[in-house]
Amino acid sequence: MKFGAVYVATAAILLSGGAVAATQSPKAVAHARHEGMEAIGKAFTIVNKQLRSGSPNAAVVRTQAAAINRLAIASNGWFTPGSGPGQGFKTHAKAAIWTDAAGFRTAQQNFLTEAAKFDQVARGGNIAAVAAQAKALGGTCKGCHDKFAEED
Amino acid sequence: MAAPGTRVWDAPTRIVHWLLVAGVAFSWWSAEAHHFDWHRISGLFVLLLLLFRLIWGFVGSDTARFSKFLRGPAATWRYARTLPDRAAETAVGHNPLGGWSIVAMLLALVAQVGLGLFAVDMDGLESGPLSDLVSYEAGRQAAEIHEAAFNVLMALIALHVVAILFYAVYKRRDLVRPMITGRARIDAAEPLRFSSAARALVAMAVAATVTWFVANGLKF
Repeated sequence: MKFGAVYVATAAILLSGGAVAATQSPKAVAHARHEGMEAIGKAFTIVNKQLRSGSPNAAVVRTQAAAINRLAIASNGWFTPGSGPGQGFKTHAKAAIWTDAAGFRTAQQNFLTEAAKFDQVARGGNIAAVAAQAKALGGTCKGCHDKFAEED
Repeated sequence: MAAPGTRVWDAPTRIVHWLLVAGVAFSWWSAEAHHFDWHRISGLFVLLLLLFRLIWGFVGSDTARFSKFLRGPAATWRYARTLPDRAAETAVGHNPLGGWSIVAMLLALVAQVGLGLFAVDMDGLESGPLSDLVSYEAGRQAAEIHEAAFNVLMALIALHVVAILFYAVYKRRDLVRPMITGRARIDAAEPLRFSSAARALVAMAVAATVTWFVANGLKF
């Protein structure tokens, strides 16, 4: 089941995040970051698929919103210095994350705020509110990526 | 002497050709500018044109039909050897080389549009109309290949433009005007048959119906 897989993926990422924080290997941080971002993207894709359908499944949306919120919190550990570009491993992270630390922190905080809000709104029954908050959350993805992530 | 203004290209072929130019250009721009709502619409528009052209390649006027302008390797090679000649063109409609380059471009377009239908972006925000039918991972793959495939399409289009320029400058044959007016100064060896407007409308109706179903995620 899709949300089951997200639980497992989230757990794996959070655990590996913890392990990574302990070892501090920049390459491992970049890898955890990549996996985490993909997990967020996947969860959000499921959300948007539900919202686009004629009859969104509130339980599915709730589960994905919770997962996104957990991953957002985990993202605090994904940007250790030295895990950026030019270190010998592939990454979509731009150097600006560290050179414009204040700007990046703002963008990241926006994401955390909207993700927490989305988790909250998804627990309620109001689908219109969920859709609106999903849009706001999506804006924070773009807001950060436009400045701090390389295009595919 | 060549008869002035012999009708060569029918209206559907000409219109679709130029609309494809616009559709592909707009699809490229809208993706670059991250206007993926527009990109999705123009992608579906290109799909519509493509479907029509593929149908028309079987039921359209003589010069639009694949069976009429596609030749085997021997004939194509024979034609290729006449490229250095500065002599006037004798082929009516697509010559064998032109014919195969059309097929290459159409295939590249089929791949481009086809992949786009299933693509999802990094953020889970933008997705093609058929992306719900495949896994997230497959959608990401489709997006990546969709982007890479555009380079192939661009190369083929560049080649096409260079070829047209070559004919204009070296062979002194204007191929652009006939694709606008439909008429060229050539002798048709045998009379060309043109398909009716009614047939074009039916072909367009079929293309539009398929496109509509695709746009709605193939949900019946």
